[in-house]
Formats: sequence, C-alpha cells, structure tokens
Amino acid sequence: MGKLQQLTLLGSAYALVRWLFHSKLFVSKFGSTAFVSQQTSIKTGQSAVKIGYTSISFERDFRFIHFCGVNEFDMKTQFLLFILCISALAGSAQRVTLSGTIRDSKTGEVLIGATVYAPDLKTGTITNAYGYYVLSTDKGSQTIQFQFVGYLSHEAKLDLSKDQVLNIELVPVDEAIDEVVVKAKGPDSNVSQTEMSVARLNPKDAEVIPVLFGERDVMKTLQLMPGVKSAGEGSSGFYVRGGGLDQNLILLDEAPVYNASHLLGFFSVFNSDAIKDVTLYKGGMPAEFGGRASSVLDIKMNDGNSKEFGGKGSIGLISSNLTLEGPLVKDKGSVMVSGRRTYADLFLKFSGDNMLENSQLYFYDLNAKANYSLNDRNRIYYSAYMGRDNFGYDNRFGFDWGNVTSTLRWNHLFSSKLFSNSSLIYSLYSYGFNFGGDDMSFTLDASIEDWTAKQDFSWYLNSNNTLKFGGIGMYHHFRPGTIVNDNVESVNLGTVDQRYALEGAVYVQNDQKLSSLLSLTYGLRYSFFNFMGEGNAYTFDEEGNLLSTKQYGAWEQIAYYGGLEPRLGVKYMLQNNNSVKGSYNRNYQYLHMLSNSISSSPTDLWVPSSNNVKPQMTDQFALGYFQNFRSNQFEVSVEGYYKSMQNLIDYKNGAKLFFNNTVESELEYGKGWAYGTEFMVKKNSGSLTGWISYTLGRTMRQFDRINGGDPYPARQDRIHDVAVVAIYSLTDKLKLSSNWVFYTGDAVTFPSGKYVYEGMQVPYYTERNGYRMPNYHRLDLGLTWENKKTDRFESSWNFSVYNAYGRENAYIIGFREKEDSPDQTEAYQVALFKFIPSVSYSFKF
Amino acid sequence: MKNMQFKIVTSLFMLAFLTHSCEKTIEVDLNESDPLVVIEAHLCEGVQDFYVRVSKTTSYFNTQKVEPVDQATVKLAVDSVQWHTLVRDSAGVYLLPAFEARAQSTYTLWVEIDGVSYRATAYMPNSPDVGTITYAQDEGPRARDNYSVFYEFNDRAGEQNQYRFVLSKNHEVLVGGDNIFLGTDENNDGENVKVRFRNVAYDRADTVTIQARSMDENVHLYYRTLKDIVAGASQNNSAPSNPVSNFNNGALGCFDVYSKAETSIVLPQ
Repeated sequence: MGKLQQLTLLGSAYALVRWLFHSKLFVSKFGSTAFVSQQTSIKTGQSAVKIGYTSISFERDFRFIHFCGVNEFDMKTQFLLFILCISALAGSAQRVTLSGTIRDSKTGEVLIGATVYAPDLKTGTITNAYGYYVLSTDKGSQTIQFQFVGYLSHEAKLDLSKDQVLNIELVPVDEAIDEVVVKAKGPDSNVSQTEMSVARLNPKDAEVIPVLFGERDVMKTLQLMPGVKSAGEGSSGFYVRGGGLDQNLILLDEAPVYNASHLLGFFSVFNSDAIKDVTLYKGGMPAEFGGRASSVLDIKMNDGNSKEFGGKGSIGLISSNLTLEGPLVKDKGSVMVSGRRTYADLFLKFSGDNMLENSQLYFYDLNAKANYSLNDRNRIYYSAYMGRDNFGYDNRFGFDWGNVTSTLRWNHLFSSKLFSNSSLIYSLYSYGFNFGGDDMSFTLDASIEDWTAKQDFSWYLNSNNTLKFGGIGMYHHFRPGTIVNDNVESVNLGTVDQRYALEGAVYVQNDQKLSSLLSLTYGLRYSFFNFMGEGNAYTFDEEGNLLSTKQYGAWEQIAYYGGLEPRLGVKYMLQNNNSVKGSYNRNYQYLHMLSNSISSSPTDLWVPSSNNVKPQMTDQFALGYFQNFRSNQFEVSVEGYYKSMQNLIDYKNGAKLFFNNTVESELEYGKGWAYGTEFMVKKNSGSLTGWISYTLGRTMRQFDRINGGDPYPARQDRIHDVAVVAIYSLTDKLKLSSNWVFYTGDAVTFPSGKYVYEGMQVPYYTERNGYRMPNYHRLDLGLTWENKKTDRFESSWNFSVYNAYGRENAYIIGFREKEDSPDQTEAYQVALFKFIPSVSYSFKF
Repeated sequence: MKNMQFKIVTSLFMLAFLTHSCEKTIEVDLNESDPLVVIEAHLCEGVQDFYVRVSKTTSYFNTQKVEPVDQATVKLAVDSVQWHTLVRDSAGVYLLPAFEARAQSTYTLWVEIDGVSYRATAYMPNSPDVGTITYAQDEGPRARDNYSVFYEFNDRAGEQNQYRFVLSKNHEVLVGGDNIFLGTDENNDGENVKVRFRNVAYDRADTVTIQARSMDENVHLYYRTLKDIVAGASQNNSAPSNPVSNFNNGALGCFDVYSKAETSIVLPQ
C-alpha cells in the first residue's frame, strides 16, 4: 500500500516522461514529432521550449505543460531526468470556450460520441460518455455544426465574445431521410479521431440483424466485427485479437461483469432495450481502462426518457422484455426500468413427464437507471443490474448463477473545462448448485464480490490538448465455495480458502493535436495488485508439491505486483478523407479464469494473482489505414496488429481445479503471441447498408511442459474469419437483412492412434491442437416489417432464420467405440443449430 | 464433479431446448504417428498369477484392436532387491505364476523392448477396511425398479489414502470410463465415508459386488487422467492429453498396484 500512497499524479507524470525518454521506440517517434511541430511553430512565430538536448516546440496555445529539463548528469554515463510540471492554465485572450451537453430531442438521452465541428476553423470535438463537449474556438462570428448518426444535423451561428454554454437537442430522423444526414459534411470520427482498433455499436443499428432464436444480442453483433471471434456456435463469449475469453474486461455502467452469459453462453446478459452504447477497445486502450490483457467492452445503459413517459418491449419465442421510462422531473431527471425473462420452462409443464414438470430452466435480467440534474454543474446517476439463471431438474439437481451490479455516479463541472466523474461501484457474481436425493444432498455457494471507487477528470485545456487523469481502487473478495452435505455429517467435501485483494490504478493521458494533420494520444497507467489475508499462502516445489503453508492475518500483504502500462496513439491525416494511425499499449491482468471446457461454464474458476501466480501481461502494436469515400457513405479500414502475451496460465494434466486450496500447484505458465490483419468495408447509408469484415490472423501459445515445449496454436486460432452483413430497405416498412459468416475451424486435439487398457480402447494424443475442426459457415436471414405508426404507438414484426441453408457445423467432434462392434472405433460430430426459425413482435409507446 | 455437473446441465439443456441438434458419424483424416509402447499390469495383494500385457499403439481407425509385442524382457522387483523374470505366456502377454504380493512393499516393473527400457515403481498400501453396501430405490415413475447403491466404510486416520471402487453386477465387472470411480480422503481423513455411485442402476435381485482398492498417488493420478479422456464428458474437454503414466521413457499404460477389500449383497426382489 505504501507504494500506492507514494504515487501521486506528479509521480506518474514524471514516470511517463522518464519512460518516454528511456524507450527507444518513442525517442524516434518523438523525434519526428518534434520536427513537425517545430515547422508549425515557425509559421506561427512562437518560441520553442528547450528540453535537455532535444528541442521541441509547440503550437501557439500549448501553454499548460513545461518540460523542465534538469540536466544533472553527464550524457555518456547517465541519462536525462525530466519532471513534468503542470502549470496553471492561461488561455489565450483570443480564444473562447463553447461547452454543453448534446441530447436526443425526443427522449432527452445524452448522445455519446456526437460531433461538434467548426468548419471555418476546421476544428472539432466529440461528446464524452456523458454527452458533454468542450470546444475551444476563436472569438467572433462562428458557425458550429452538431451531428450524430441517425439525427438531423444542427447548425448554429454564434457570435462568440466570451465562454459560452450551449446545450443542444438533436432531432432523430427516420431512415427515409437518411441522406440529409449524410450530406452534412464534417469530420469523420473513424478517420479523424486518434483512436483506432475500436468497434462501436449502437444497439438500434443491430435491431434488424438476424440472430439465434430472435434474441437480439449486442455481443453477437460485435462478433461480426473484424478481430472479434465468437467463442463457438451460438455463443455470446468472444475472443479479441487472439486473446483468451477471460482477457476481456466487460463493464456495464463501469461495473465489471464476471460472467456475461446466460444458458451456458448462448445468450448474453445484456438486454438490448436497456443499452445505449457499446464500445469495444481491441487495442490502443485509453489509459483510463485496464485490468484485462486483451480488450475492454464498455457498455452504457440508457438513462431513460426525461421528456415524457414511454415504453418499449418485445415478445419472442424464447423470452419477452419490457422497458418503461419517464421523467422524474421534466428535463431534469429520468428513470428507466427494463426486464427480460425467458419462458422455455413453461413448456416443460406441458411435457407430461413428471421429471420435466418439476424442472426449471430460465433466466431473467433487470436493469434500472435513474439520473437527476441538481443544477447545470452537477448530475447524479444511479444504475443497477441484476440477472440470474436457474436450472432445476426434478428436484434432484439445481444450479443457478448470476450477477448484480450497482453504480452511483456524480458528474461535476468544476468549470466548463474541467469535468469530473466520481463513481462508487459494486459488483457481485455468484453461483450455487445442489444435487442429490433424499439420502444425500449437497449444496455449494461461491462468489466474487467487488467494491470499487473511481475518479476521472477530463481537463479540456485548449483546442489542442485534452488531459484525462484519475484513479481507481477495487476491493476483491473471492469465495471459491463451500460445499455442504445437507444431511450426512460425515461427508465433507471441503471448504476452499477465501481470497482477498486490493487492485488499483492511477493514470494520466493527454490527447494532443500537434497540427491539423498530426495528433497524439499518450498516457501512462500505473496499476497494482495487493494480494492479502486473511488466509493461507502456499509455496510449492517445481513438481507442484506443497513445501510450506503460512498464515496471514486480515489485510496483511501476501504478494504485491505493480507495473506501468504505457499507452500511445498517433494519427496522421494524409488527406481530408484518409489517415494512418498507430498505437501501442501494455496491459496487466491480475485475475485469471481457469476453465477446461469448450463452452463457458458458470463455474469457471477465477483466481487472483498471488505469491505463485504472476499477473498476465500483454504488449500490443497496431498500425492502420482509414479512408472514407463518397461523403462518408463508405468507410474502409485496414489494421495490422502484433500482440505478445506473458504469464499465460494453463493447467496440468489431471489438475483438480475445484475444491482445491492448492489449485496454484496445478498450473502451468507460458507465453503467447498473436498477429493479424483486419479489413473492414462499411456502407453507412442508402437503401443497402452493412459491412464486410475479414480477419487474417494467428494466435500461438508456448508452455514448457505442454506439447514438448513446442509452440502450438490456441484453440481460437482461426486463420480466416469473414462476416458479411447486409440490410436492405425494400420499402419504408419492410427491411430485409442477412449475415453470412465463415471461419477456419478451431485448432483441436484429435487422437493420432489408440491402444487398449482394461479392455477399453483409449485414444492416444500426440500434439496439442494439431488438428482442425471443419470450416464453419452459416447464413442467417431476417425480415422486419413495421406496422402503421400512430402518434402514441409503433410496432413491428421480425422474422428470422438462423443457419438458413442448414449447414451442420461441428460443435463437437468426438471419438468412440462403435456401438455395434466395440472392437472398432469411429469419429462422430454433433451439430447444434440447423435451420432455426423465429419470430418476435416489438412495440414502442 | 465438474464434468458430471456439466454433463447434467448440458443434457438437460439439450433435451429441453435443442431439439435441433444432430449427431452423425463422420470421416476424419488422422495423422499416422510412430507407434508407442503400451504396458498394462495389475498387481493385487495376495497370491496370484501376475500378468503383464505389452503392446503398441495402432492407428486410430485400425480394425485390429491390439498390436502385441512379443520380444520384450519383463522383470518384477520387490523393494528393488528380489528380481523375478516373467515368461511369455501368449501374444504380448507375460506371466509370473503364483506370485505373492504383500502390502507395504514397493514394486518395480521393468520392461525392455528393442534395447529401450521402461520402468515403473508403485507402492502397495495396506488394504482398506471392509465396508458395507446400502441401497435406495430410485424415484420417478420409470425408475421404480432401479436401485442406487452406496458404499460406507471407515477411512484410516493419519494416512493419505487414494481409492478406486470397482463395481460388479451379477459377478460381471462394470467396465468403461464411466465406471471408473475414484476418491481420496483429502477432506475426510479418518472419517466414516459414504460413497454414492451415480449413473449406475441396479435392478431387483441383482448381486452387487463392490471392491474398494487402495493405491498410491501416481496410480490414482493415472486413473483420474484416464477417466478424463475415456468418460463421456471428455468431449467437452478443450485439450485432451494422454493419461499420466507411472512408466518412464514415454510408455503408455500403467503399473497398477493395489490392495483391496471386497463385499457383496443381493438386492431385494
């Protein structure tokens, strides 16, 4: 803990600068940066700031940062030391600040990522996660454009003589007049923003895409994006750029969700009707995010309609959902409540089978959110989620799991330029099962509970610099489970040690525009993990034999890990409509999931880093080219990435993962690497919209004691991965949609021979993942038919067919003795979903 | 436990939900690999003919089940001192007749084939206490004639014990991966333990025989890892691998050394 306390913002800023100048990589980039900006400054006639031996100059209103070069050392033997001093902000007399919030005129929902653009100055910005924007611009008469996809753009002519607050409400447009929006020229975020490797999704856009059982699911739509791969047939789990399933940080209104799947992964816990915005960072993560090695999936819930009461819902084959929303106080605050429940189990009641009649099989989700503006400077949000799966079989076997999350947030404006968000977050993932009859029955309870406090600041220094900084602290409590025999005292399957840890981070990041062509995002995150008592710490020898056990008291430190995570992004505009971007990020991951099955299981075990388990670490480099055509009607991008992964975890053959206090002795540690290229062509408007994505990539693993120490492909090493999504508006009321996916079969382990032991034919394995499942492909079709709208009510029917041409994609390939002649062996495959039609009815009032 | 629970959930799920799933036999092109030596030997406490089977792996879809190895030299040592040589009995089978194995001894099996030797060492623990078999009638309309059986016994206190339970129905041993039942006293040292055998259904009037075997850790690990790949749930395993053998030099199979306690009952009419 002492280490954390020592680390002030200044300290991390200092570390950033020190790292920048230590890193060869950055020195070369920094060098070229300096060159470009020097040219700029010559034009504007501003003086340069000297830093040691490097001369760097800045644009004219770059006032906030002074690099104070302290040349204490002889250059040959020692290196430069720099301190980053953040001085008081002194804005240029000629500049004014325009700030405010952009909302939907109909519902009052704030719009995330809406564009604010001053065409005369060719400068712009986008709204943050709370719809807030700040634009620094010149004094005098200005035209400002406000734009967001799916909304009429708004143009304001302003005479700016001093800082001004301007809240804007954009009017949503029907698809029929989409063209109007597209014609509005403006900066285009995918080309002009420095961020790359990001997939953004508005759940509304995904409404018409056909899905399994007609259950709209943002996670499944994300799997159609380049670099994102499905965890398997029908699964809502996903792999990002060759990373593992547990390497994705999934946040729902900032709260981590440990198991985002229902029904063994076939559905995600995110009810589309309750969601406003979905952003997946595949690389180049902003410094405010961390904690997982591969990606961050940031999901924001709807705030609720602050203008009038309304609702929406849908009735489907598997589930129904209903969302109600309305103002708490008109234009000041709103509330939203959304629920979803499946009812497959209701059919069991009619099965005529006693066992099935006494069975349960359902899940539900409840989302709620409320927000209230205390005044122009303060707004409070509270959001909560609760969802649970329940299985029960004839009172013999029961199994349930679910998440609870809760977030309390306070947005505060210290000034129009300094935005603050403070959050208190709670997250609980728990599961339990019981089995057994009258004579013997067992129950088990297990959970992971997190308490988090988070503080983020955005400081809109000037038109060229936005500084973000903040910190996060989390308290983890792992209860891997107590298994209790309900009626026979003698059988005690055991209690597994509870685990405690503190995790935290501080970060600082600057988005800097060096010239109209070149922008940089550079940041540094220091994350730490403090594994602590109360509990036992074990040490093992090389073979995994227990050497010693030491007991620790509550809050007593057992192991501490900490590390710097540099984040860097560069964008260079080649022309108005194309740019190249590069990024680098390092991520540490302190929590690890152990799983030995091919589909996600609620009992997948999470273990914290400890004296035996080191944190996972990844470094990722990405380079991309982005271009838009025909007034942004088409977006094209190509991105290449290389990712190296350290301290990956696998388990030994025969490992006992459950009810085992010394599970750490059952683990193997290794490394991995992934590389690939992602192509994306997207058509945003017109009667035909959609995208084509293609990923060519590999992902490899290497463990000393697996596969003889030779590298082997990870299961999700799918070399080719294609998705084609097309949506065609036949008329105003009728839309056809389809998606087609193709990917190389998973890398799997098949037997290379057999032998007989105790009369059984036993398969014999040689290399890990040396075989391939058959290639996977599937076409889904959908039709959405909108009924006649009235002022108060609109509705639509959605028909879809999953796997329309009935491809039998192998879910499992197994090997067994032939039933009729046990002397012989055969291979068989199980395919899950073949030609699944579904229908749903949606309404809105 | 995880496999079992997973299996139940999966089957329930499939039953109620996935009427569309389908299974079929397929052709898979598997690589040929160099054959490996497989050694199977079971040594039980008491006097018996001790057999060792030596074979090689065959290609997976080969219709010939076993490829016996006849040119092997096979020796057994007790506590690394007394060496006994086994003689070839039939194709790939080597015999040491009327050998008396005693508990609390360490046995070493040594097999040499084409100049390469394979060695396994295993300790024979004391035999477990004899337990009792109890039974309960299964519930549900279709299960009226079925019985679940339980085995109750006292674990020896103060020592680490690994168990395997071998069940027979009407004097016929239940074979196959799903009938490998294993347990340890990790969490119930010295306690009275009641073991339930899931998915084994006995009918009325069946004779139930349960043999409790006590074995060392390595033999137990072999059976645990063998079960992982031959039991039905193995198809969910993301990365199957060979069972952990107690032989060195890459031989497959196991030198299974155990002591036992056996008991029988006849279920009611």
